[in-house]
Amino acid sequence: MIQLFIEGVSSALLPCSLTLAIPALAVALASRTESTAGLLGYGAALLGSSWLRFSDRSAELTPLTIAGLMAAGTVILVLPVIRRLDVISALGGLLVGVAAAALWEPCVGAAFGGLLDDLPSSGVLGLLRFSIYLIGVVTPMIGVGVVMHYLPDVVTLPLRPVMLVVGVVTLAVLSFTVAIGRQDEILARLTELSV
Amino acid sequence: MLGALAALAVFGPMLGDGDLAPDDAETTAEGADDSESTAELSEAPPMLGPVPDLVDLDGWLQTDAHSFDHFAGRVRIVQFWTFTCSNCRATIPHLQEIYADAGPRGLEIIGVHAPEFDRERDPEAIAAAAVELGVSWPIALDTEKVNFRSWQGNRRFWPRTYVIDQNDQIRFDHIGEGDYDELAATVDWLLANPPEATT
Repeated sequence: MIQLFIEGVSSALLPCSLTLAIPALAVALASRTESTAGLLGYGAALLGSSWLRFSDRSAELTPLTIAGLMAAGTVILVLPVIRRLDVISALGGLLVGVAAAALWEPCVGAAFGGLLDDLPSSGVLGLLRFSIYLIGVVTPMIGVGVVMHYLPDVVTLPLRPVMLVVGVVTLAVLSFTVAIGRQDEILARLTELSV
Repeated sequence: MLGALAALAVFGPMLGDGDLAPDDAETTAEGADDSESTAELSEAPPMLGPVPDLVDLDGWLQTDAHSFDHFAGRVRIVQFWTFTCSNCRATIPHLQEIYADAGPRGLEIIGVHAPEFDRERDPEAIAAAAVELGVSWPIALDTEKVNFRSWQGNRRFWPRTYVIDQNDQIRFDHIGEGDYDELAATVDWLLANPPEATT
């Protein structure tokens, strides 16, 4: 179990996981003061959706569905600009998380590989082990959200419009490129820019 | 997150084992941990289905082959990899060891290079990385990841390693690093017990 968690944390630092980290950062930015709620929604959706996908319990989402989920999540994150609510941010993050899970193509170490081989038949125990790994993956991302959440207003207030624009534009570009089937290129470019 | 975990823990048993495809069931039956693997197989490796073709490739490196058919009739390890993936790189010494041992007895390894980043799409960069990493086997260039997707379906990972028998049947399927003893044992078994040729 500990090995799975450690492998999850270390994989979060690999370029392969930036497919998850880029939308996560965009959710944190777009959620602004509710970044923790947004990222918790994102993490929960990522866990549930990727488990369903990697255990062969869900069908493959079409590019248009993925793009639609990401676009809907973006709109929800942006709409209530004046009075933000945690649940709204969590819902927006959740929709983006479902989309990100559908795009994820992980690089896999030995512990996670052994788990994935067995995942379709491993039931609840497999889900718990998968959760341990995913918690490891999302811990650094949630950490970013928590730090942003607790930054003093004097620091974040002037930056909020910029944070919102960067987060929304990133998610909008991702949605569009997924819809036209070019997400690999944009994710590769965003990833290469970030490493 | 905790709420979601609790919900999934509640609904997980209701989902049961899911609708397992026969391929998955057989893969699972073989076990995945190194600790469970043995140096020799006690029984024939499972039939996991016919091997798909490798299509729409952008070429080959380190071989005169022009298609996957070139290697038909041999025991083959097919691995989806990309040269900057650290987990893929970690498998290479183990594949080298198996190739050195079983290559002279008829094994062929085909590395299907499915790039993640732009710099991994350049054949010259792939060739240079192959030399640096000691990859001496043929490399198929799956630049647009057509085969990466068609072989793996909705469960796509780097690396993923298959063993194909002499009759084009998949006999081993492992995700990620590890399971090298089982991989080597499967190759050895197939080389020692070639299936009857199908027409």
